[in-house]
Amino acid sequence: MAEKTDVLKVMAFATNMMMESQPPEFRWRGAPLAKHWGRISDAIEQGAPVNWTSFCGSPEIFRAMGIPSIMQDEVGLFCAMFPGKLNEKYIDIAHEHLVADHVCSAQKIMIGATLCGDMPPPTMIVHAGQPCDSTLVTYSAISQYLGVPLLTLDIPGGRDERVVQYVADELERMVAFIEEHTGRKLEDDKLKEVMEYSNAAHDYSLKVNELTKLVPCPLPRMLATPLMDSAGTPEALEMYRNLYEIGRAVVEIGKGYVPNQKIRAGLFSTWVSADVPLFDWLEQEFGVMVINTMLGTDTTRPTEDLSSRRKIMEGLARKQLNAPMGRECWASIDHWFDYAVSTCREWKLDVVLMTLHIGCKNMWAVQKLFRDKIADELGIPVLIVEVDFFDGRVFSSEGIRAHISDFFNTMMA
Amino acid sequence: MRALEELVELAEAPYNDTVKDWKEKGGKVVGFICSYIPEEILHAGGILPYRLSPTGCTETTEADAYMSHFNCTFARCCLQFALKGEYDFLDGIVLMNSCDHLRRLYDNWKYSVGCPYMHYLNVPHRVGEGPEGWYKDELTMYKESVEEAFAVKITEESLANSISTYNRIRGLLKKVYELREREKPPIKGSEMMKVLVAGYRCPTEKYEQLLEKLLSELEKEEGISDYPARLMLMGSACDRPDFVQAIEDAGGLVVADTLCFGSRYFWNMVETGGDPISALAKSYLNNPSCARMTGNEPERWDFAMQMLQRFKVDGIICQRLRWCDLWGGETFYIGEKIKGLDIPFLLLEREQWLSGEEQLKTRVQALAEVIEGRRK
Repeated sequence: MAEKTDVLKVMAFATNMMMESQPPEFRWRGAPLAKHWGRISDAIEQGAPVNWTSFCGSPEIFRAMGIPSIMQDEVGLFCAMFPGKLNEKYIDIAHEHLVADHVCSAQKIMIGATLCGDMPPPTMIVHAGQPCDSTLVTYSAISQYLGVPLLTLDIPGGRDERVVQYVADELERMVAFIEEHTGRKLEDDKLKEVMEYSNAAHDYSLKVNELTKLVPCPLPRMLATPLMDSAGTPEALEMYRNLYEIGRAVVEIGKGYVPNQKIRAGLFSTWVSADVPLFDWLEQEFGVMVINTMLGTDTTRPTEDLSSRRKIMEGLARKQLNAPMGRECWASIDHWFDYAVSTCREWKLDVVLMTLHIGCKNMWAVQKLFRDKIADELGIPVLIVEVDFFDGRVFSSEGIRAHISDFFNTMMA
Repeated sequence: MRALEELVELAEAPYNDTVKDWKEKGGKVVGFICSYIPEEILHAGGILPYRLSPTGCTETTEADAYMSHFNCTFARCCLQFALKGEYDFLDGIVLMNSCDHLRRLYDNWKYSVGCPYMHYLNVPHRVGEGPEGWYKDELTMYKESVEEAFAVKITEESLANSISTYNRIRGLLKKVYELREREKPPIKGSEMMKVLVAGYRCPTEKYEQLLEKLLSELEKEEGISDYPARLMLMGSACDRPDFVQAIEDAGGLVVADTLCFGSRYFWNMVETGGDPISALAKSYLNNPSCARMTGNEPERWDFAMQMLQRFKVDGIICQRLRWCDLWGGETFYIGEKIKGLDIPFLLLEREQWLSGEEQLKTRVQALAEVIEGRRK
């Protein structure tokens, strides 16, 4: 019998590993994530409810109900970073069980880990039905396989007030579902307390955004935001507060955090967890500073009106609809265009990078429209590189770097 | 000419004579993409609903520049046809959030092709009261946009009449399918696919007449007896009679399906007697479902099992379009369910055009041999 791997320990290990790759003065940035994994491990040990979720959810509600959630994309990400090539093992298992090879590898890693028993089953699966078909279908399939209750929030593609009200209704349905399946109640006082932490962290996150717009950029790149899974926690607030204060201090000195910032880049896709040092290489080799990333730059607004549960649900719905990835992938391209154009302008970007994931069909489907929009309207070059975020076997690091080198060598010639 | 021959002719050309006649008489034609979009609304406005089905598309050079080779060839073929002017006869299009590829087809069409009338429907991904209410509102806005764009009035009465017309079509198609339950089915699966495709590009009244004629002709047929296995098709959108033909050439007879271009399109009637928009919203959302819908996987599987039993199926072929993530994930679920059944199963991956025909035939032959072997 094959030896079992405790995926949750792998997550904690990979988190530390990731933090060690950061400059020493910024390693504390991993604290929210480390606590997140700790909460999940504790819940499993105590037999308490654990949920599986996806990007673009509302972690505040789970936090207020004391239910930790594992985000399947994070499992994919950290397994891909882990030296033991667990990602490859799990992906192969998923393929053996008829999951198509073109389905997003993040989901395949979660499925494979579950099928071989490395990932303990959750109490329930409650997730947002965005940003892609892969997310939508694989959660349904795995819930059937495990026999655990499933709730998929129905998220329309529009972004107007009618959609906000519909998603707020969906969130209320979600609360009732969680209460039914866990026996826990959502207390209004607790929700409000969590929302206050969430709002405070968001305020700092928006201030951090303003700092990263400065030239030179006073902070190191941030590839993913802890607000996706740790919103509403004291540690997320602490992290953003520290980040803001350090950034402000660096501004006062009058220097950029990374020296030799020749090119300001925006990463309008996710990073490549199968090649973690890629962006260090980019900085060192070409002086390309990634100052804005799809998952690291949260532009959602805090929920200002906390006067009633309904108002909070509406605020959370607005956040979901503008959350990273949902913002780009689930709404019409006009919504993405608006965001992308304003981001390029506000962050004074010199170049847009798109390390486009093979599993991300909806981004691939509009790559020309996107490139033309940015290049024609703003005169900013766009580099599109084929990658598999979580499986280095599909496109090699050497090939990816050669592609990027060609682009920047030409641009700088 | 026999009805089947007439229907085959209609199916073979995207811009066939019936559509040409319609246009020449000043009629409007609006393309739609998915079985979740009710044709009744266009029909009630006196507009010809035309389901996009890129028959004859064999390459996607121009579309690939807009989309990518990681997108499904059904979507790319639709865009290719639009870019090459094959759909210039359309006065409008109605697309929806069927899947990642078709959602983005709308964006590409809007920016790279354009069309006098374009509408996008946000169709819920689950069933229930909330989604039905949402979809009712979507359909109401859609109806109003059709009225405004084409200067027509769609009344409750005209909509109710259109529902009745389409219900008659549904009833006729179901009767034709029921003939395939026979031990000697009077029509091949590939022919049935042509009959269905013809209906997506033909005025309803004409199609109804042809179906009535077809039914009376088929009822007198002796039927097909020299086939080794009765097969059922399931999976991604499939509008390709040549693909079904290739399967049948290899030895099986396709007697049933759970496809959106097939049985799922017409299996359930739309309720009559109440508010027509509410009835459309309810019926279309609750039809036997696509993998885009969540939370009703058991019902989706139950429908497949009902078809399996009803049509006395010997083997299942699940075909999925390359890059179709909905069915690429759903096959995991199907694979697990199949384990509990004693029935041969074959998973095929395909493109919108027929390719790898010999390999396909070899695999279907192997399936047919397994089925024959079980009989001995």
